[in-house]
Amino acid sequence: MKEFNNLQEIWKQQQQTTLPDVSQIITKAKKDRTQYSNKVFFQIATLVLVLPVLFWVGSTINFKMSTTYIGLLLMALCVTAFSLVRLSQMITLRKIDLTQKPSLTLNQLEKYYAFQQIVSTKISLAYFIVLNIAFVFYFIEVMQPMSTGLKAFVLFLYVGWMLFAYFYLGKKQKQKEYDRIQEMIDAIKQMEDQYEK
Amino acid sequence: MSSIENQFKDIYSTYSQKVHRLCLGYTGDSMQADDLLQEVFIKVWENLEKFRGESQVSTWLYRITVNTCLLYIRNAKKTTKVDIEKTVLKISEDTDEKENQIQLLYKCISELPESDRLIITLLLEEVPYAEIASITDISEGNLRVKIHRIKQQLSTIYSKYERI
Repeated sequence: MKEFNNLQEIWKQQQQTTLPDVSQIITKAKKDRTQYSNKVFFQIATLVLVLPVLFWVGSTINFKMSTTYIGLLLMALCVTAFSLVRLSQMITLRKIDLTQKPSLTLNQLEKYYAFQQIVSTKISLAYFIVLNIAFVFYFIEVMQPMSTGLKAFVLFLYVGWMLFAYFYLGKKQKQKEYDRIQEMIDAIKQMEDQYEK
Repeated sequence: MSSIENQFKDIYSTYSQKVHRLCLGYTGDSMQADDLLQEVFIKVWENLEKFRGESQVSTWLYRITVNTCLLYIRNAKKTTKVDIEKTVLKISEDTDEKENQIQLLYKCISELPESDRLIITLLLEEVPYAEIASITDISEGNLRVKIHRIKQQLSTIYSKYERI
């Protein structure tokens, strides 16, 4: 059997690898920080833009029924809540402290992925349900002046798209996401076990 | 030039090769090791101002490296096991004996569990036991037991493939 000392001798024979110049790393680090700030800015901008648009619709069009305003309010709530969840996920991932003990990093990671799994399943489902309720409320008044044929056509398109989005696109994506996150959690747990052994 | 930038450059010139070898030991893939090296030093850059010198720079840096490697699994790109037979055959045709042995050693390390890869690579880099214990947060007594087992495992794997 090869002695460990022999292996160490082999290890020491390695030649220096050509690595990126330090200035490249500094430039990348600075760029990385800017990109992150831009991402956060984009998330907040989306939120800040959608809300005034909904407010503008609600205030300029003189809706007669309170259900329409409830619909608009629910839409605003959905967008706000989901954007905040996404934003908090982004910040949490960024804030994982890599200078601490590895066991604590693994623990933080496990919590992050567990929450991500809740987001991609339960929170996404709640978002889908509330958003559809919001549209139902909104459609009550908006569809009133339409002919029965047009109503049926719009509803057919809307329901068709929602069913396709939820049962085909969404399920497919969700399963993929669920499997990936579960794989991550399992890998982290396995590593936590390795540390404990 | 700021003092932080100078400090960063000093750390990079002293440790970049060691960090790269540690990342290579973990991933078994030089492209991924390059990516990890960049990620590690970006984290170093981001946290350097907060470093208060409570531990050695090397301990602090290796801890960031170990954590970055562990975090890397989120990308689900990690290489776990390598087809040694194919690898050895490929290496034998193209490179000299010394290089073959180094490549084989890396491949054998990649057969170990993730945390063991990091520990053994730190050991091969001649990082003292006390420092490895501090980096990985494993008690020194427990670490000695682990290292004894990992050394044996690595030697066995190496000998096995050396015969192929």
